[in-house]
Amino acid sequence: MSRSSRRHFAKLVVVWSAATPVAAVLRDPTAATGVAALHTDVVKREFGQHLTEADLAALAKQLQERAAQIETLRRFKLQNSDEPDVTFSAGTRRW
Amino acid sequence: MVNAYAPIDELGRALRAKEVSSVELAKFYLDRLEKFGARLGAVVTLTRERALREAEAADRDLAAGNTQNRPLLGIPYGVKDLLATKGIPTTWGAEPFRNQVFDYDAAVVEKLTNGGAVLVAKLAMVELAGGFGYNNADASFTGPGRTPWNTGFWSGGSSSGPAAAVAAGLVPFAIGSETSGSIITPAAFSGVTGLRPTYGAVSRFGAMALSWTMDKIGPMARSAADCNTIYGVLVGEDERDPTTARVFPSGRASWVSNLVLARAANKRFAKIGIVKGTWENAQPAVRAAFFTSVEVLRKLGHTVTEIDYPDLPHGPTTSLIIRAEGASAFEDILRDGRAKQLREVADRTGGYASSAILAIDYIRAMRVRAKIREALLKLFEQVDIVAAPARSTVAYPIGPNFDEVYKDVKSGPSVIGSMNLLGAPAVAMPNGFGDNDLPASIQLNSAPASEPMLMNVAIHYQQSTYHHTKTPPGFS
Repeated sequence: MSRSSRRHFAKLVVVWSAATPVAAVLRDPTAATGVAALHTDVVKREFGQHLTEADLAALAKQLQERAAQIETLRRFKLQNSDEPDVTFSAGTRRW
Repeated sequence: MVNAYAPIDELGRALRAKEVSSVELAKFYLDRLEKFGARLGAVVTLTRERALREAEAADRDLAAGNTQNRPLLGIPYGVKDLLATKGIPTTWGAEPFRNQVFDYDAAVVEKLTNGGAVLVAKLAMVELAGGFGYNNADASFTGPGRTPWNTGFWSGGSSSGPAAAVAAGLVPFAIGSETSGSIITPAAFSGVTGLRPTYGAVSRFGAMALSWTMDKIGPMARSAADCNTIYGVLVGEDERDPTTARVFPSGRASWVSNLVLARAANKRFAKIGIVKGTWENAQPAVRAAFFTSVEVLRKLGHTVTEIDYPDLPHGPTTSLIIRAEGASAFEDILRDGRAKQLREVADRTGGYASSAILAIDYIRAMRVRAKIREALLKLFEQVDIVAAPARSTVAYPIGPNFDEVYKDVKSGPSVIGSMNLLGAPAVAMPNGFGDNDLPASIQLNSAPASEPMLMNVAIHYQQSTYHHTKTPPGFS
C-alpha cells in the first residue's frame, strides 16, 4: 500500500467509524450498505486499475454479503481473555 | 483383462502374482484417461512419460520381491493439480498459472513415488481451490468437472477431477485436498469414497496454499478400505510442514492397517450422533438414503442418537477465515491484475472483495473459531462420530449458478464448515441414489487424530453395503 493510499485509507476509516458505528449498523441494516460502499471504495483505490465499473458493481454486491457475515460474527459475545485459535510459539519448534 | 474398478488390494495381488505388469496397468489407465477424461473435464495433464518410467521401476521391484510394506507398488494414480510435480505443469486449475512448473515433487507425491505408486495424471480442479467464492461449476480453465453418473451435472469441487476420474474408473485412486468441503463434496456428487484427514496429519509441502490454517490433503478412492491404505502411506510428520508435528498424541496410532481393522474381533462399537437439522429439509431421496445408512449402522451394533449441533456462527467464521487467508495467499495476482483472467465471473472479483476484510474481523473469526473448537470437542466427549448427509442435495446441474438451483433445500447446521474449523477427519461414502440418477452420500466425522476408529466404522459399514461397488454406465 502506498503512503498516499494509506492516508486515504486512514481518512476512510475515520469517516466510517464516525458515520457507521457497529451499533448503528446493527440497528439499521441499510447502514451496512454504507460500510460495503466504503469498502468498495477502498478496493477501488487499491486495485481500481484492474477493475471495470461492472466489476465494481459485482464487488459491491459481494461486499454487501460479506458485511452480513461480519455482522453475525460481531454479534457473537467475546471476552477480553478469548484468544484467537492460533498459538504463537517463541522459537521452541520441535525441528 | 483388467477390471478398471478393481480395489487396490486386488490390483496389488494381481501385480504380485504377475497376472498383470505395472506397465500394462499404467497403459490401461492412461488409455482410459485419454478416452474418457475430456468428456468428464477430469484431466489437466497426462504424465505418460513419468508413468511408464515409474511403472518399469515398479516392475523391477516386483520381480526382485521388494514389496514389503508397499501396498501401492505398481498401482497407477492421479493427483489434483495443486500438488507440485517436478518438471510437469502444476496449474492450480487457473489460467494465470497454466504454465507454472516446479522443480520438485510435493511431499505426498514423494511418498507415493517412494511407495512405488505410478503417477498417470494431473487431475482437474476448481481454480485456486475455490478460494475466491465461485458460484458456478464452470470454474476451471479446463471447464466444469462432470460426474460420470450423469454428465449434465457437476462432479463437485474443488477436487472435481480426482472425484470424476475415480468414479469412472480412469484411475484406481486419486489425491484431493480440502479446505472446507473440497473432498467431501466431490466424493458425494461423484459417488466415491473420500477421506479428509485430521489437519496436519498429511504434509502439505508442495501443495498450493489457500488457507494455511485449514488446508488438508487426502485420498479419494473406490472404498474406505482403499482410502485407509493410501492414508497409511501419506500420514506422518514432515519437517517442511510444521503443522504435521505432534498431531497424534504419544501412544496413539495414526493409522491401522485394513487387515487389522477388518477383523470381526476388532470391530469398534461407536456412539454415533446424527445431527438434527441436516436431513429434515434435504432432498427426499437423500434423506431416505441417509436413514437407510443409519439403520445399517444400528444393525452393525453402533449406538445412534439424534444430537443438537452447537448453535454457533460456523458458516460466517469458515467463510471469513478462508477468504482472508486466500486473499493474502493470492495477493500477487490481485495486485498485478491476473485475477481477472480467472474463468468464473465471481472469482474475478471475489479476491478483491476479500482484500477488504479488516484485520480485526479476521482475528475475531479466529477467536470465534476457538469457541467452536471448544464446543465441538465437548460434543466428541458425548459421541465418537458425528454423522449427517454429506450434502443435502445431489450434484448441481452444469449451467445455472449454484444459488439459482435447489432453492427449496436447506442444509441445516454447517457440519462440513465447522468440522473443517476444528481440523477433524471425515469420510464420505456413497449410500444410494437421488434425483436424475445421481449419487447420495453420508459423512462420518470424528475427533481430531482418531482416524483408526473412523476408518474402522467406515470399513465395517462398507462390508455391509454395496453402494461403493456400483459403477456408472457408459464408461466400460
